[in-house]
Amino acid sequence: MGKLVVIWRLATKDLFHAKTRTMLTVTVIAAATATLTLGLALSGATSDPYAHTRAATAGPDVMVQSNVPANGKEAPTAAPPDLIALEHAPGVVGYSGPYPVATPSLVANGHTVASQAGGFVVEGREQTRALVDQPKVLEGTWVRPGAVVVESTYATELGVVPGDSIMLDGHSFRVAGVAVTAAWPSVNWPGILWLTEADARSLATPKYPLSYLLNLKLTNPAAATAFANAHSTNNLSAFSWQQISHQDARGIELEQEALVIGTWLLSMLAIACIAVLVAGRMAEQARRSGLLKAVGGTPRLVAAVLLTGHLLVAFVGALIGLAVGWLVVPVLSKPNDGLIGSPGAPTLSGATVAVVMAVAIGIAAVSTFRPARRAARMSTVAALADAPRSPRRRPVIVALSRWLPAPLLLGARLVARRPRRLLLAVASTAVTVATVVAVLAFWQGNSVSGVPGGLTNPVVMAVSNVLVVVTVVLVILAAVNAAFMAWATVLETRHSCAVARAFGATPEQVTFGLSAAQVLPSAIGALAGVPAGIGFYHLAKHGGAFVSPSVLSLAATLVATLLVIAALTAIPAALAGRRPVSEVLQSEVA
Amino acid sequence: MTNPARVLVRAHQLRKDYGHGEALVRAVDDVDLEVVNGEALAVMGPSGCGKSTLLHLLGGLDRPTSGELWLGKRRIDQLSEQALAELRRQDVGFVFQAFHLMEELTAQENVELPALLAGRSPRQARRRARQILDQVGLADRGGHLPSALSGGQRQRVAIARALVNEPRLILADEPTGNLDSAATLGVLQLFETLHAGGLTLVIVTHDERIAATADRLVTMRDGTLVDETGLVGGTARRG
Ligand SMILES: Nc1ncnc2c1ncn2[C@@H]1O[C@H](COP(=O)(O)OP(=O)(O)OP(=O)(O)O)[C@@H](O)[C@H]1O
Ligand SMILES: [Mg+2]
Repeated sequence: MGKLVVIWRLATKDLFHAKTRTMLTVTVIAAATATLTLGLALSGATSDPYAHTRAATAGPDVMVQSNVPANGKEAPTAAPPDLIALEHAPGVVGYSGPYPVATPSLVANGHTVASQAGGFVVEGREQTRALVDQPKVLEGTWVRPGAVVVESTYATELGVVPGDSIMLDGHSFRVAGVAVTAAWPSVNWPGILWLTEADARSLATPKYPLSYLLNLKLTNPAAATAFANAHSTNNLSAFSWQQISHQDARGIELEQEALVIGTWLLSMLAIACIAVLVAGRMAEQARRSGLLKAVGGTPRLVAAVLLTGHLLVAFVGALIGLAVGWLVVPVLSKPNDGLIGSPGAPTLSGATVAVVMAVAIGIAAVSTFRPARRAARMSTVAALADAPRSPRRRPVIVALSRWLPAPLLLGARLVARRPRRLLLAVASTAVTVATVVAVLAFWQGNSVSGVPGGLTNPVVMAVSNVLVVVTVVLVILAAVNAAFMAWATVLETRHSCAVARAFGATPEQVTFGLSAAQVLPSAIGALAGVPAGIGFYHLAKHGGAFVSPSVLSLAATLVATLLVIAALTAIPAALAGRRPVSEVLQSEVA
Repeated sequence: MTNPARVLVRAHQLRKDYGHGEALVRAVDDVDLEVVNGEALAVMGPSGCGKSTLLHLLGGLDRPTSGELWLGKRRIDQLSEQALAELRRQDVGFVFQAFHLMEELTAQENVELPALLAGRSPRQARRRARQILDQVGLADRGGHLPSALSGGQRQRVAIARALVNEPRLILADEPTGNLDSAATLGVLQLFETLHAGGLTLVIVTHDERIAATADRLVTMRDGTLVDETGLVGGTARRG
């Protein structure tokens, strides 16, 4: 019992003694576990919403649309014969349609959208149930003369609800209901409005004639894509349910991909960060362990004290991370309105909590292992005498830096003592900038190819939210990382800085030098992050047209990053520079 | 009263406090002191009496709580940190008991550093450092790291570093405190040579032999100067 008290007391004393470090470690673990929580919660919420919708709406296996004839040719007043012929093509067991499709202009809620620009289509339907593709009404009622039903995603986009009215080519229609369908992709695609057939036909103009749409059921739904390909001609465009489903799933996939990639990046950064934290404490802990052993502590006691400290930190960090994740999950996972059975707010399951805790405890155990082994193996005397790792000589840097102005000369030499830490700082900057650039590219890509009429696609919004949260967490972590590394650098170079000042270096020179020596390599990392981020984005979206954020936004990102790093590195150095030189030299024997 | 033109360092009612209230420590307590050009002054006294603190004040490593401090014709107790740094770069050279060499720099590079900080070209700095290392008898050790040098050699490197910018004043805080008697002798001879060359020296020491080579000895107790002796055996003063 007494021993437990000793272990507890020693561990907590140590944590409070190194307050800043403890807080940083907690922050890092919290950030990593928060993202992990999000990742687990969202990936647990995958159902197959498209399949649900398809079942509930008697979704077609193939949807065929006649193309509007090219300018000059006469527009058909009825469905073209080759489309009608498909009703009885081999392999077809059922159909609905052909339905007229009109492309008027729309005014709703202050938005003006030209259908001709691809914003939406108007499909004319019978008021009775169709055999194939009967959209499921979620709110309100099905079409009737003078009333329109709006596809759910598009209704969200337009911000309309049953009872509102919409102007189509100048005619007012009341919104009768909101429905979902499996015949059209609900994302990255024009919106859909349903009218009665007569109303739809009334919207045809010589300039914008009708096209026709046929929904087919096949004997072999699995072969729908082959069927669609075989029947696509100059006049007809056919899509299989698999193709439609693929379009739809993209939204959710993108969301998850963003999160998975983000979680990976974050975990890497977090582990790197913790590695630096632990490495930075090794010498200090060895000395403490030596002290413990000198007064009779066994290696096991030493290990227990170390482990208790790390466990406490990991536990508190994981709790905070879980709490943050729990708060953020509902914000991120607004279900896709266009599909029924789409994931609701994922909940934090016991399994998620367990995994997150296990990871945090794993981190604690791993970070205890090296110092504990070292403390156990090292002779007590050696541990007591253990100075912080003595700086390695870098002859090339020393020689080259002689030609630099005084601040850079000092900075380069001081920072070059810990090349691994510097590398980590550079990598951390590169990863952060890459993420920000990828998000910028995503925004750019989705505003260029986005929905016409200044509307925002809800799925794009959802992905964008995920990206923003991941990016914010990443940026915070990177900032913590940078601040910690700068702070550790200042602590370690305190003596050398004091000596340099004793021989005439001003605090400003030391501060500027230390900061510049960290900002300049980070600038390289930041620059490397730009192509990495653009590449990242294209990797995540599986090809497609090349998208690059504007030069202005890239430049702003780089400048902002470097300014933040400059501030984060300069502040600890400047604070240290306020201590009189004599105090540092007196308290520390080289 | 000494001829004012010859006074290099003048402290008037110099005071340095650490801490506040109950924990207040008056490390230097209203010290009046003058050091003339070319003089070698030894400061002795029991541990904790404020010798190091006084030395740090004289060299602008720290600022006094109150009082006046002059270096030549310039008042330095109120200078900004920037100005103090320039002062340390140009006018003062420090030698510490703990050497305070940079472990990852060779002897040569350690000596060069203040010259580079003072804006000398790397070539000039190198030449000057070689010359001074030669002067302190370490011409063949320039490429060694401090860890490969003996204590006495390290202190001579530190002295060379203090001399590299040709300061007017050398301040040494127990320069032989970490050395055995043979090494002490080497450092002692070096200081004598410097003194004979006209340099002004203030040396804090516990070593009677060092004190004996000075022109003048002051003793401190509890932050004040209690006793001042002109030493007969001291090297002749120069003006
Ligand atoms: N940074 C500080 N904060 C508080 N008190 C200090 C500080 N530096 C020195 N002191 C106190 O000032 C007094 C004088 O210290 P100083 O180092 O000048 O003594 P010293 O004469 O050099 O001693 P020694 O011979 O042991 O080196 C001591 O009582 C010391 O405790
Ligand atoms: Mg002292």
